[in-house]
This record gives sequence, C-alpha cells and structure tokens, in this order.
Amino acid sequence: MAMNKTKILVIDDEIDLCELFKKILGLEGYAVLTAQNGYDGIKINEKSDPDIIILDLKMPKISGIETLRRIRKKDSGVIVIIITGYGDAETIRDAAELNVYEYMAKPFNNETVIKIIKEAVASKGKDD
Amino acid sequence: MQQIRLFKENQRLIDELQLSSHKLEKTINELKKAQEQLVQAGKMYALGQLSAGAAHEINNPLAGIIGFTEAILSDLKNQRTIPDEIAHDMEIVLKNAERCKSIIGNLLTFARARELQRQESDINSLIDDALALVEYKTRFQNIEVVKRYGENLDKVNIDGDQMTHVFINIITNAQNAMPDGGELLVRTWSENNFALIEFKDTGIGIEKESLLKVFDPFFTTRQPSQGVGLGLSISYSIMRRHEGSIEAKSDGKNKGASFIVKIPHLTAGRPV
Repeated sequence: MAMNKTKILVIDDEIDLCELFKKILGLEGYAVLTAQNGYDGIKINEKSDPDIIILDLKMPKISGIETLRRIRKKDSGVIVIIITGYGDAETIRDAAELNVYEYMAKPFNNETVIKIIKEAVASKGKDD
Repeated sequence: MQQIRLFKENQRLIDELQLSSHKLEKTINELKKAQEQLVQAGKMYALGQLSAGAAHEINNPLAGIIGFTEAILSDLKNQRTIPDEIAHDMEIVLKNAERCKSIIGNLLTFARARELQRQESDINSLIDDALALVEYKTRFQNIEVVKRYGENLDKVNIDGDQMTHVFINIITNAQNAMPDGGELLVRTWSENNFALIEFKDTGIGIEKESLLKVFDPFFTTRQPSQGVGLGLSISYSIMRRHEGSIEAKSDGKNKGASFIVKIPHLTAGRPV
C-alpha cells in the first residue's frame, strides 16, 4: 500500500492533543506537524506548506481566528478544520467567513477525526 | 376674596405637588424594576460566561482522556501492544483526569463563597506568611523580594485564610510573570481608613486589552497546563466580600505589573 503523503499541521496550545493527532493520524499514514501557538503555526505553514491545517480557536498569544486570517492572506487554498472546546456563534461565524472546511467540537472521537481528514483529502484531490 | 383666592391657589399647588409626588414614586418604582432586571441580566450574562469558560476548560482535558483511551483500545484490539507506549498513553489519560478534578475543584471554590471567618489581623504578618509559603519558587526563579512595610498599621478585621489565598494568587502570578528572575516589591501603607498593599513585579507585564479581563473567570494568557485562570477571579470575589478591592495596573508588555489590594481598617471591632 502506498504511503499517504498528505501533510497535516495541527495548531493547538494543548500539547497532549497535538500528540494525540500525531499518533492517530500518523497511524493512518499522514505526516503530522504541530505548533502550540498561532505564531509558530504561521511560520510552520509558510515553511512546510501543509495540505490540511487543524486549528484550535482559543489559544493564548494570538487567537485561532487571527491565526486563520493571517494564514489566509498568504494561502487561500489550504484546507482548514477548526476545533474548539467551546465555540460561540460569533467566532464560528468569523471562521465560516474565512472559508473553513469543517468544524469539530472537543471532545471528539478519533474515528470522526480520521473520517473528516479522509473526506478533506478526497476533496482536495478533486480540486487539484 | 383675596384669602379665598390664596386658599384656592394653595390647594391647586398642593394637588399639583401630590400628583408630581405620585409620578415620582411611579418613576422610582420603574427604575428599581429596570435596575433589578439589569442586575439579573448581568448575573445571567456572567453565569453564561462562566459556563462557557468552564465548558471550554473541561472539554480540553476530556478530549485528551477520550482520545487516548480510544487510541489504547485500538492498539490493544489491533495487537499493537507496546507496553511503554501504552503506559505513556495511560499516563496522559490520568494527567488529564487530574486536570479535570483540579478545574472542578477551582470552580467549586469560586462558587462556594465560604462565609468569612473574620478576626483581627496584622496585614504585614499575613503577607510574610504568604511569601513563606511560596518561598521555594521565589528562590528557585531568582526573584528578589523587596519589602517596604508601613509601620504601626491599624489592624484589619478579615478572614486570614482567605486573604492569604488572595496574596498567594497575586504572588504566584508575579512569579509566573518572571520566569527568568526579577524583583517583587511588596509595599503596605494606610490611606483614608484603608490598608493598602501593592505587589509590583518586573515581569512580562499585562497588555491593555488583557488588563480589562484579568479578573474574569477562566481568563489566562498562560498555557493550559499552567492554570485555568480562576485565581484572580476568586481573589476578586474574596476582596468584594471583605468590602475591599483589588486592582491591576501595567504599562504594557515587558513593563511589569502591579496589583493593589485595599482592605478597610478595623474601627471599634467592625470594618469602617
């Protein structure tokens, strides 16, 4: 079976969740990079050009929405999936305006995450 | 005739006064009702904010617990049984479960508002007690504590345990703001029948936008593992119940921060 080379960048201040994504998505054959804050996430995005970004909304230093705005300025095409422990309507609306592919609430089931990623990869294949 | 006119005029004025009085009473009642509604709306909004904050804080470690438990089960089912890896994953589950416990404990402390057990206290001694309790971290992080205590400060009538809790919260925040060392100045003085205490650090400071939110429940600029942001909210609540106050000041990023606590002085056995 050919290795899936899709690159996924996870931006979340929760170190354990970054490790979890690395584990479950790594087992599916994806290359997973992680960042614990928006600033690092933006740098890694520019350097590594991931196919998909999983982005937490509430982070210290710079919010998920602001991180997304800055990423979108330079890269309008990357698929972004947002995750959050609590999303108020206004933030979710802001995210929707920034062309977010999907929204996941924490806590989530690993199967759901893998399913959404597979669908996102498939949609990217159609768009490429 | 003139007297009759005067009498009628007086009567008219009395009637007008009575009418105005009734109108005023009605307006006051309406204002009271509006104020009650505002206070209630404010409480509901605050409760909503608190619930949202609590939900967010609990959902993060829950995601860790559920995620890693599912991963362990999947590994076991697929016979990917690497003991070290499974042990590591289980440690993460346990750590996040402890974190949930801590968050709920903090929430309960915040909600419980234990009745104050007041006694006559010396502020300088209480500060020394609080500093002693966190001394290990102060020394470890090369933080110099400078004390400028006012002499002969009047006593205060406070719950010593809860006030120590306030001081520890502030000192801990100052320590966290100075990870590479610095200075913590602690000053006490009296002003207008209040005892004032200032905790001033030379740390990372507080930005203007954050200054408005530092006492909000769950507000934090730190990583999740460093706390959920209830310490200052709890401190604020304790100070309100003491009829005192707590205020935060900062000139911005990397310019340190100052927390000023005000406690009413004891006069004739009761707070002023």
